[in-house]
Amino acid sequence: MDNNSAKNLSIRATVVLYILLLGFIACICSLFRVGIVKGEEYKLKAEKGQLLDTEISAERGTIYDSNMNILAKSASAWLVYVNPSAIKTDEQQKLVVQILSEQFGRDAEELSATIDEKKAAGSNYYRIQSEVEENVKETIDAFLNEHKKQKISEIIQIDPDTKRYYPYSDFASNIIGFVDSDDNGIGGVEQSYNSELTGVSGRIITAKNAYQKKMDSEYEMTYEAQQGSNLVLTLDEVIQFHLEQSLDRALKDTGAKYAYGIIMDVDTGAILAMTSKPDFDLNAPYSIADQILAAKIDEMEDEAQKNEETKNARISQWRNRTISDTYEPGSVFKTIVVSAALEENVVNLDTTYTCVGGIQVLDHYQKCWKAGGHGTESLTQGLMNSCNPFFITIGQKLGKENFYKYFEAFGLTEKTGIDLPAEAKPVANSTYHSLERMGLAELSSSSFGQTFQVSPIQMITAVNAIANGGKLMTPYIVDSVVDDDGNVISKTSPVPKRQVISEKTAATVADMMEQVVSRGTGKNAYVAGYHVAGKTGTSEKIGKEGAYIASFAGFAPAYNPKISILIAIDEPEGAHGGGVVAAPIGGEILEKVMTYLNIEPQYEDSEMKNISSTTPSLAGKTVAQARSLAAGYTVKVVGNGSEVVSQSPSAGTQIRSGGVIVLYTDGDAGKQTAVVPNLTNMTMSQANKAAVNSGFNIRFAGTTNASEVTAYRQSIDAGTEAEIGSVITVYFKTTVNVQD
Amino acid sequence: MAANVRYRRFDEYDFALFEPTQSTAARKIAPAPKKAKAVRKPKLEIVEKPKKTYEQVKKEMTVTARQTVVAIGLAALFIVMIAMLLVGRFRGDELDREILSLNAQITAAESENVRLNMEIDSVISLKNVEEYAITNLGMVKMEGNQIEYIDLSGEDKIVLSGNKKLNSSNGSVISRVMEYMSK
Repeated sequence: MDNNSAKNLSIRATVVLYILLLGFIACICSLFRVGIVKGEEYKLKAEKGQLLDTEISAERGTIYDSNMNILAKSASAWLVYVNPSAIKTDEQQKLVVQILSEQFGRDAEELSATIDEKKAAGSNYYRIQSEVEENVKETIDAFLNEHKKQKISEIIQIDPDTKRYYPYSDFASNIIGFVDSDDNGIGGVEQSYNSELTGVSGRIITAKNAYQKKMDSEYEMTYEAQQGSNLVLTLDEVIQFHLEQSLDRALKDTGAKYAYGIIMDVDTGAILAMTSKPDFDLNAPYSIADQILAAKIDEMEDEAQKNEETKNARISQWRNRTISDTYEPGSVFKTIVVSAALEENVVNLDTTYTCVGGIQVLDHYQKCWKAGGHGTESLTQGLMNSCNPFFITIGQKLGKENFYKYFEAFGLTEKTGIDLPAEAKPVANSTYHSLERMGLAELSSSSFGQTFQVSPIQMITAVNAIANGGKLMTPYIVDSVVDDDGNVISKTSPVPKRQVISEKTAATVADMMEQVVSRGTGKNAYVAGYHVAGKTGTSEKIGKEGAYIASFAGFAPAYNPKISILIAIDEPEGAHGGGVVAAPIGGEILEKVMTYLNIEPQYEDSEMKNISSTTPSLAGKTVAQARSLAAGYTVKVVGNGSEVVSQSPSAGTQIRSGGVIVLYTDGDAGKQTAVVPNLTNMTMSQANKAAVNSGFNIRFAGTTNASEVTAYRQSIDAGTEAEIGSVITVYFKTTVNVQD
Repeated sequence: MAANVRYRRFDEYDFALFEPTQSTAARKIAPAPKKAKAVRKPKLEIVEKPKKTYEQVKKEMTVTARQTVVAIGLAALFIVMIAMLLVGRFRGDELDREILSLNAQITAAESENVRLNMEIDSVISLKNVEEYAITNLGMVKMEGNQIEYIDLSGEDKIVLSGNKKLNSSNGSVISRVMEYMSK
């Protein structure tokens, strides 16, 4: 090799080296660009191209009552939608419309027109129905298979979805709430505990091949969905049922616009029952539950007005008025005033006052509800009579500073902090008088529960403080959050906010309230065998003349309280006094709840006479023997046999002494029936006589300790045919001196 | 054609033709004259290949046959393994599909179970049960005074039937064992 060749070789090698170096640098730059600069973008593109990502929906947690009865539960369901752009022939459209209108009750013409519209707009998604159940899905699947040739499966698409079930429909609807189409809670605990109830969605990430098909499971990564936590409420299904049943009936009987009630555990502040009527069906929350209102809206021709009214009706039925509305508590608030006055030693049990029917406050003469006045009365009598002038005097003696101090201490200037959404916030000088702006007129009117507003939950929390020895509790509705295996994730501990009044004052006021029920304006809440403490209230609605709210707040048993209760009947028709309208409902509910809670009744001698006796077993006895055993009862024999085959009422039934026992001596003899008499507005003896004369038995319920009581309701409707010997429960109440 | 070919004798070739020309030689850099080395001629040795015996040939043939069999066996094994792998993969896919299908069935069954339970719950709600009991069965709700309350707050007591008396030894372990043995 000569010099020239070597030089050439060297130059060529250098050039090649530089080219290689440049290439290498280009590669490095490209790698840097691909890996670092655009790394994420390409990674996503690659993943998109290579991976199939499927979401696994997390199941929403279950809601239980305190006895672990299911109130709300989710399950897998299906979402059916249509791809209008995929419809190529009229035959296809006809088949699509046919199956969908059949399964979902849609108008075929309307559906077809909508599909046409969507198709014209180039849409490829038209949602038909969510929360479709398995049986419906199977029917659609079968139809799609049947019409494979027409390729309907390319038009009707079915995707996974979830459905929330509320087995008891309208039961505790304001407390439970519901979910929207995205599974987000609306109202009730569904909203306030949405984050706990909502789980974490899972994913299945699978590699896909060049044909976009899923590859083997070895290329699959599954991130399991985490189910939402479950809620255990403090709500008791049975107590809630009694409350709802009574308030439903109250709405019907009184013609009121609304009725709401709360039952609270005295020691803990746990809500055992809470309702606001009328309510709605949780399985169809957007339907107007009030049929009359729904029909009225349907008749509207103006579309805008119709939509507005529908929206208002929905919001109204979803509203939990026990926590979101405020009302003037009226005379129920006198329990707070008397507690403050006793605590501050402004008054004592020996304090007396002479009511002359009214009192002058600045330039206004405030009348007592009882024309002519109550005369001279003690402090307890003042509360029993719900005497307004007496309480104006007490309020004035207490002074605005002390009045406001206790108003604040009883929690009436702040939210209670209950774990439910949309609690009404008290606003100074709007819902109540601030200390600065409280003059003599405001102090006087506030002293008997007027000119300020509180929410029902605030009022029951305050009354509950009197029941439990002076502790103001934070009310709560969720007892615990548990996982799917029942492990407790968190548990609510009762939180006493503060000691508002001493135990001694609380006991004194409790005793005074017991006398309100046994002898005062609250006597319609009397329950034989139990001592009930309570206070009635009547308030005129601000800005709505002639519209009243009748209420009753109390607790039982009075000397060892277990439950406190608040009942409010909003805008009743006719009688509107708390003692006439709300107290009987309170008494009925308390009786049922205390029996359910196994609180033993202690009957006094005067009460024993109204307690029924137990019917003897007479089947198999001769007629003569049966007559002898049933001495003291009115015996009616049906049939010509010599031996008793059956009896009505059956052995062991509670009927009053002197009641009717029907003896059947012939097995073939049909049941003897009679028309149930109308017993309302009768006195106890009149009702008993009328029932026995018609061949029925009677059971007394409600107020039976007052002299002037009349029947206001009977368990078997008048005019219906019923078997003779049947027991009719008749409820009594008094209208004398219970107007407030 | 082969008859026309005539090979020249060695001495008939003009080797001068193959010598480098002057012009070519002039372009080359004349290397420094080196001392010529004495060229050693290789020694030619003839090695005679030993003749194989019949046994050796037979043995070699056996080895070759064995190797062939092994090779074929390995190839067959390889093919079988590939086939098994493919079958396994197909089976795996099939099982995957089955699992997916069964999971879907389980989910459907579970949701159906929930739906039916909810339906049952709604049918036997307190409201419906009470209504049915009162309207159809003529039942009356129990009253508070019908409940017999038993006080269990006191200490445990033993009540013997008839005229039996408690022996002082009754409580001892030995007496209880004796009593048991005597039965």
